[in-house]
Amino acid sequence: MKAYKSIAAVLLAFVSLQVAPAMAHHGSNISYDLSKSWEQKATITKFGYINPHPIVLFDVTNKKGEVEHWHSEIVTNPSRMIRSGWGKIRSEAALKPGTVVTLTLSPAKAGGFSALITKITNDKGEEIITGN
Amino acid sequence: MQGKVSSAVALITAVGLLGIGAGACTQEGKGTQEGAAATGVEAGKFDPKDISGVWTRNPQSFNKDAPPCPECREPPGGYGFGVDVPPFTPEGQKRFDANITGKGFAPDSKEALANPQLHIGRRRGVPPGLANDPQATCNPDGIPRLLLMTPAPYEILVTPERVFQFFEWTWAHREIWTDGRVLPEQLDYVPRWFGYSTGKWEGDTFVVESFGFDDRSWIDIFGYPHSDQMRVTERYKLRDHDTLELQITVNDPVIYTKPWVSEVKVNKRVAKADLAAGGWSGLQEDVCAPLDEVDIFNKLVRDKAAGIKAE
Repeated sequence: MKAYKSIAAVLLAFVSLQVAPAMAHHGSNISYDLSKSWEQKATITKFGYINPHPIVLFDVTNKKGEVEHWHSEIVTNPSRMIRSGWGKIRSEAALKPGTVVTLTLSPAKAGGFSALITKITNDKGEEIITGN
Repeated sequence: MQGKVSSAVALITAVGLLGIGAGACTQEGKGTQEGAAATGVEAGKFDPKDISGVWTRNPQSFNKDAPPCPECREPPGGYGFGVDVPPFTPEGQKRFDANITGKGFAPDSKEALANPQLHIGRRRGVPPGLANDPQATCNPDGIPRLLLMTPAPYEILVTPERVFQFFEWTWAHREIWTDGRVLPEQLDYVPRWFGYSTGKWEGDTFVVESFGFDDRSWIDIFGYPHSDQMRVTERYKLRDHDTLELQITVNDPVIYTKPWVSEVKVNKRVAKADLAAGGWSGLQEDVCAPLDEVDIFNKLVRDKAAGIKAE
């Protein structure tokens, strides 16, 4: 049992390390509260496949029926995206304006409609852009 | 999440120190096998001066099946020059305080509190929108900062009189003269972000000396300063055909009370096949263009995340 736990810890370490440098590079761990995250249905309004920080703007309808305009970044960049199979054409098609996706978000510590996207899921339940 | 990352980094550092990581790192992966095959190198035999090639500190960014390289990794907080920071001179302290970084740990974060042994440079991060990092407006990173980027690779090209380095991040290059010239005692020309460089072989180690730097660049992401009197020594050594070690020394008496020696940075060779992406093969043009970074990203995302209101 102890051995299994050790193996699990090492595996977790390897997996987590793939995320850590990206966080450090973007300064995401400072701007955003990564200890908090939630899933959110969102409608894409703009996606920029730009270096080194792709941007995603999206709308959310809140409980009062009001539309909120959110600004966000993704924890990856085009050179990493293309190497995991997410080229410009495929990415822009997957996030064209009007597309409804489910986002996993961490909020900006400063508040407002600002967040970091850590996961994007399409209407088929597949992870896109952020996955491999 | 942050806690997990922090403890994971601590754990993996320990694994690396135990030498387990070194064993894992020397295993032949898909990429390294192809790289070796491409140059006709048999296992265990390599030319110690064959440093031409593309190098990265995260081989799995290029080939998911490549063995992980925990020893390529860094202490908590991000990829910097070194943790053993010499005491500053009064001038050095002044410039260090003036450089506000958006990297590392926030001072009040769990990670900062859990790592009090780290130099304050890694525990003083502010949201990038409130920092004054020259990189955030696409100014050149310069040397040594550009050598520390990850996973962005750099390529080394050896020619008879010059060794070139091409960097994917910012699509920059530098030239290192190997024609026997020596650096001047004093430079009477425009300071360079990348300095003026000469190189020579000392046994199996390629030693690069540089001088004549623009003092507006930072030594690394944490905002450690340098003056225009900085001299940089880089020592490159192949451990095996696919592993390049780099140790850097900064000698800058205006800023630091003694020379600052980096940890050994371990780079892995990237096979040509693993560079293929988007119907092309080679380094990506990872330019930082102000039209993208400043006019779009900073305004629409970075500054809003820092609570800065649009004008």
